[in-house]
Amino acid sequence: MNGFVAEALRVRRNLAWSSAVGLGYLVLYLWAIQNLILAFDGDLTRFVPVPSVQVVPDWTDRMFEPIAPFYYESVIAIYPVNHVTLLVSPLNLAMGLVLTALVALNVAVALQVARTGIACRRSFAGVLGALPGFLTGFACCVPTFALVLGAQFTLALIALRSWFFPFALAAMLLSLAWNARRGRRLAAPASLGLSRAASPVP
Amino acid sequence: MRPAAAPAVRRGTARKLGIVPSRSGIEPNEMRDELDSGAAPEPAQPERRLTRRTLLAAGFAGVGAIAGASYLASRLTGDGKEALRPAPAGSGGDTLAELARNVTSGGPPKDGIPSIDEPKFVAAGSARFLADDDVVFGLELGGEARAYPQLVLVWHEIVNDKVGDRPISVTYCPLTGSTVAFRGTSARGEALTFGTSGDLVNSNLLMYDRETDSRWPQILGQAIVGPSRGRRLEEIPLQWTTWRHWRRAHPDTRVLSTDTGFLRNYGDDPYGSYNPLGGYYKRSSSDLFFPVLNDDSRFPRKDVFVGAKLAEVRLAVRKDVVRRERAVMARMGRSRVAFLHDPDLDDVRAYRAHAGGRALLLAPGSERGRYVDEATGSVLDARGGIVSGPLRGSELERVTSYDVMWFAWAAFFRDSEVLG
Repeated sequence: MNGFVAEALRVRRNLAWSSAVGLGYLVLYLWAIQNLILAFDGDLTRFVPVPSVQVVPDWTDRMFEPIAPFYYESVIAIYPVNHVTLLVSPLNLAMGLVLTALVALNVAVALQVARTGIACRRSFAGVLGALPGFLTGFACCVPTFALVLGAQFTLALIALRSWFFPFALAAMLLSLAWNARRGRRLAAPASLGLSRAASPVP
Repeated sequence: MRPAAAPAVRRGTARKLGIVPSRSGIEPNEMRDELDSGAAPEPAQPERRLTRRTLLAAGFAGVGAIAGASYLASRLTGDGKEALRPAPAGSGGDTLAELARNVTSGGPPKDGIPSIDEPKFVAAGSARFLADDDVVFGLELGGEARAYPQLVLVWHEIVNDKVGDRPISVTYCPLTGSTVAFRGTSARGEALTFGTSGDLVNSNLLMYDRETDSRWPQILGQAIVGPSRGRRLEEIPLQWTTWRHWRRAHPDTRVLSTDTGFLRNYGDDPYGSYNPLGGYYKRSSSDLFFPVLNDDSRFPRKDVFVGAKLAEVRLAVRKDVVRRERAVMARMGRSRVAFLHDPDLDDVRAYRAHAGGRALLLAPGSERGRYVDEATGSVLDARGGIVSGPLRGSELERVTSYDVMWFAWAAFFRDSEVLG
């Protein structure tokens, strides 16, 4: 598996696409868990100088305090421009980066499988496994996405909340392993055929 | 048991309503290199298979480790579920037991919504983060005026403050639109301070006290679970008003600062907006995120009522009715109670309408913010002080009352009298 993944990452096009998708995922993830806040109807300058950075005094303890399962307190706030806030929670960010790396690897491997010409769109389906990661954010009493999806989803989201991050992680790992293994199996006969045709007849 | 209250409404519409309630293991690249070079394939490399398996195993171990670590972290930080086993029955009646059975998780763990335990205040002139029409909860106590902005409390729900040397906890539940301040002691006489349990009952904030770890629904003001089960808190009314109104009425007010020690997006209310009214808070919104024990459809769920408590009697008056009528008289048990609209704050205060050994019958006066007792001609201001007439100098006793969404009041107090 690791050989195929490494091969996928050696292709510049794969690397570019996976980096772009990974970066997009990270931004979406941070927005979904409300660590990246875009509030165009509010005026941030009412509350803080812009640009500015705030750090909570007891950040070493605070960073481990959970707000919800797999969702932790922010210890740094960055206000780069009005309407945009970036809250930095080292644990949230670490989890986001793990998911981002897996998304990027899944995309690179799926592209490499597709390059063999034998693959189908299913190779990209594994990336969907990253979606539950978006649901880990909480705002006060209610999951962030319940506020978007509607009140009827609240209890279901709360009941499943502990599983979103582990599920996303497991789904992405399994998808990566399955795609890499499949890519290696599918690519091998093709390369064998090509090589044999090109080889001198003994 | 229904209270024997018989609301005697002087003006406007008033109703008395009872609430009912692989193949070889050879990597493709290796195979291609071998064929291209014309060399025969080497036997499989067991080390590589081992490496793959190791990686897979490490991946799953990682998932397990993270899940386990998170679980352990939540246990170490404590989510308080153990404390939610109802205490033995007999000390508080069926209502407390029923409420205890219907506690639901709001999602966050205990203290996941952090209370403000070391509040910082700024002068009115320095509170530039407040817009004129932003909602503030005003506290008038011990000669002091303090404003607690809704845009701060929506992220914390509890402020453990002190007035003088005495602790006071200012609380706000966004889901039920209720705000009330509390003082309380444990059975051993310790002053109570509060945190959020992360749970809800009837969609209402379920607080826990840090001294006995008992659970207290905010609207009930009484412990339903834990060593303090059955004990009640002293409720101190807060004024639900706007910054413009409060600042004019109390130019020397101090204002809770956004420097809370926590990083929150204070300009943004996750549920909606009170300025302008929108989202979850809209009167026309019937969305409830959590179940309630009694869903009373006689009024829109989000209609704002003023809920009053006097001894064991509960009475709710639609706030718009008091706004319109300016003075609404009602009876709570044996007491006559007046709900007076304070035009300075655009808010309602409730008083026992008794002074000088007699019951008063109040009607709006000709002057703004003045009320006249029809029997004696005595004139009152909206703060319950009699400013002229035979009863001049007397002050009416305040009755605990606070704004609350209709659905929440009805869910807690099925036997409440209602004026709507």
